[in-house]
Amino acid sequence: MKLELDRGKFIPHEKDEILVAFAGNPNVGKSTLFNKITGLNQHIGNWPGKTVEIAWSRITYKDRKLVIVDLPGTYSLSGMSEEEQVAIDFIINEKPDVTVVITDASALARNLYLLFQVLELTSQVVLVVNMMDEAKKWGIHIDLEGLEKELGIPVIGTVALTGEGIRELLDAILHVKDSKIEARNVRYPIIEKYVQEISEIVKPYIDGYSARWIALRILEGMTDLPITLPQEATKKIEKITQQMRIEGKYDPKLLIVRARYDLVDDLVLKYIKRRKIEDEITEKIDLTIFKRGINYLSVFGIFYIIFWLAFEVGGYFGELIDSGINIVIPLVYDVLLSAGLSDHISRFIAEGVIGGVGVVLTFFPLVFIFYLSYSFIENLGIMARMAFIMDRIFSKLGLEGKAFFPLALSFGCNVVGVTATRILSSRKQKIMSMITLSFIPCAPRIAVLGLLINIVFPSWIGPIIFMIYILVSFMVVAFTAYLMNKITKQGGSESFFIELPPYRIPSLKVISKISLIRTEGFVLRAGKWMVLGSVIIWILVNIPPSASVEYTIAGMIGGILAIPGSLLGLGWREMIALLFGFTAKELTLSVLYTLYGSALYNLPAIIGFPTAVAFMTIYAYYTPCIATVAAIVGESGDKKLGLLSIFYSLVIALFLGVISYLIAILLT
Amino acid sequence: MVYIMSRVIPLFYAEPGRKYKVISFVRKGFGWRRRLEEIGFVPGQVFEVVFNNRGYIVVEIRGSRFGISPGIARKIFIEGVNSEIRA
Repeated sequence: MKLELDRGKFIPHEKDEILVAFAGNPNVGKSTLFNKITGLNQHIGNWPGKTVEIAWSRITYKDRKLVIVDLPGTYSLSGMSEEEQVAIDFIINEKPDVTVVITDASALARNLYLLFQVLELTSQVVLVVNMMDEAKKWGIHIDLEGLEKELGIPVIGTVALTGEGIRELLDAILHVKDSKIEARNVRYPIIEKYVQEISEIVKPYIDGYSARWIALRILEGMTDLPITLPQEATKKIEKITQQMRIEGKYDPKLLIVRARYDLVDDLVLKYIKRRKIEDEITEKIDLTIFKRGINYLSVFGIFYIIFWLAFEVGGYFGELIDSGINIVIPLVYDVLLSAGLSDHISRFIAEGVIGGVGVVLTFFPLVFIFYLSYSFIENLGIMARMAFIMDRIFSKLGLEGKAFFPLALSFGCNVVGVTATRILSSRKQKIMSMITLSFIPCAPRIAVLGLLINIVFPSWIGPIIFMIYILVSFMVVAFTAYLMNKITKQGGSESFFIELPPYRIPSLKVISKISLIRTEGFVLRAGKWMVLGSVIIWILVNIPPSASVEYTIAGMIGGILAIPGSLLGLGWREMIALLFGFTAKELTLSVLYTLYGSALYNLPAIIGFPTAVAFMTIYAYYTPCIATVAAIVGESGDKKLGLLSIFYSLVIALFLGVISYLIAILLT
Repeated sequence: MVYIMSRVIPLFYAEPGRKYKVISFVRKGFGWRRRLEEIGFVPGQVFEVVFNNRGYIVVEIRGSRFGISPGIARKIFIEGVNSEIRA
């Protein structure tokens, strides 16, 4: 754990503001509760040096100002994953006034584990037992008062979906802050003796940290302590852990986990009564969905629905916005012109800048509907099952099962695919998916490719050639994933297990709020890069003004590129067409048509069959469009990744282009 | 003569619908092992195998369901228990 952060600086807050952290396991309704309390007024930021997102919001309650922070959902606080590290860092460095641990009433036997870990770090804690309504439905009774007495902290029952218990929770937060309530000290059975011994040893060196927490971390085998210990101290500690191993029969690490669970079991036994009613729907679906034959079918069925909603319904609204923009552009142009600006400047602002904003806006409904349908299915409990099903295939590529969605969505549009990588769980997964998915041909690229195949090949073999191109793109995806795993030296998937939450009907209000915030994030992050891209392209294509295509800057660049291109027989026309394809994949065809006219249908005769094949191959695999690159830069926050995506795909495309050129020569 | 056979098996071969107790893990693998322990897979813990077709393994442990990858399921050793014990 590195403590580069200035204490209390991540979220600047006034002295009179109360800093509240929300911690909890995944699938306990933590974010729902957070959204219910804070409304749309949220900020999302990345933790310094990490890709983990943290959302926070300011609210006023009973004339008090609260800053509420939604920490990433984690099963524990051992720092095994980025999310866990961020949660620990936050509690240690930002020193929240109150930490709220949120649990699912039906899964306390596991969720309370995190509570004990939080209590090791801070004692100003409120325990929330969420989804009380569901627990009741399944015949589980929880004695909240008993828990409160035993733990010494407020315990609040809530139903996040309806907002039940939120007032009580906010009151409890104020109460903990004002009356300096502290949790009763937790003492672990079996290991307590050792914890105390080590605490004594480290006490002189703790530098403001809790000696007990440091001692526990040492026992857990964590070497990255926030403090440095002199050698004599480490030697003494080593002796103690040695002794533990002999006396305790087990590894100290395991003993600690067991000690925490022993306390959990104790609480569960005392305060939770259950006569379990079986959840028949969950039971039935789970016994069918993983069966062979049904498994992949259900994934594709659900994917089809999401795809259809995003690209058909979202696409429809996108087109509406697009035609709106096309009405606005000439209007803006006229206004600017009559305001006294020159023709070029007016066109630049209207077409370059407003046009770029238009591109971002046309993506808005696609991205929003994707997130909406995704959140719906996720909250329904289905998505976890889909991820589990696809994990078997994707883990072979070092990708998690959920990566199926960004990759498959890329057949519609790479930009939407890149945006969808936000559903993935780690930065490595996101980056791998972003780089690999740009080899999946998007709908416009598929359309152009199909037309080119029709021109270059006789019609009877067309479908076979098309299948070969798609197959090769899968192979490139697999190869790229393999390569990236080799480079990062982290083979294999990270999901050894996936929680399969019970099926629940989601609240439309909550999921639309979450989707809106996510889409807003897309517009803010990728939007500026898309506008910038549009401006650059406008300059390349329109300067010098009113010149025909081959005399513009883009045309000249095409001319220069034709020099190396001539090795494959590619001339300036093809190079310009490819260059324009960088702005939008469908433009390649219209530029070719502009430059060749109807002679385009005799392309193989004009430039030769092998060259035509090489051109098609390069077109099929070279750089994704500029909007995709902008989305990659925006989503990853890393400009280098955008450049890597461009250059890597160029190398692959050229390599495959040469190969297909040689094959075509052999065939003729 | 009565032979008492050891009934410790990898989770991979568990029967669906039955209850088992965690016995041990294969030695290697700090990362996944630690994560499993933290969701409740500690020696002695009783859990139920909900579904297992040797491709997908679903267990219910401490009130939550988890899908376990077959690779990991081969590395967790378990023993059948009397079905009256609560998972």
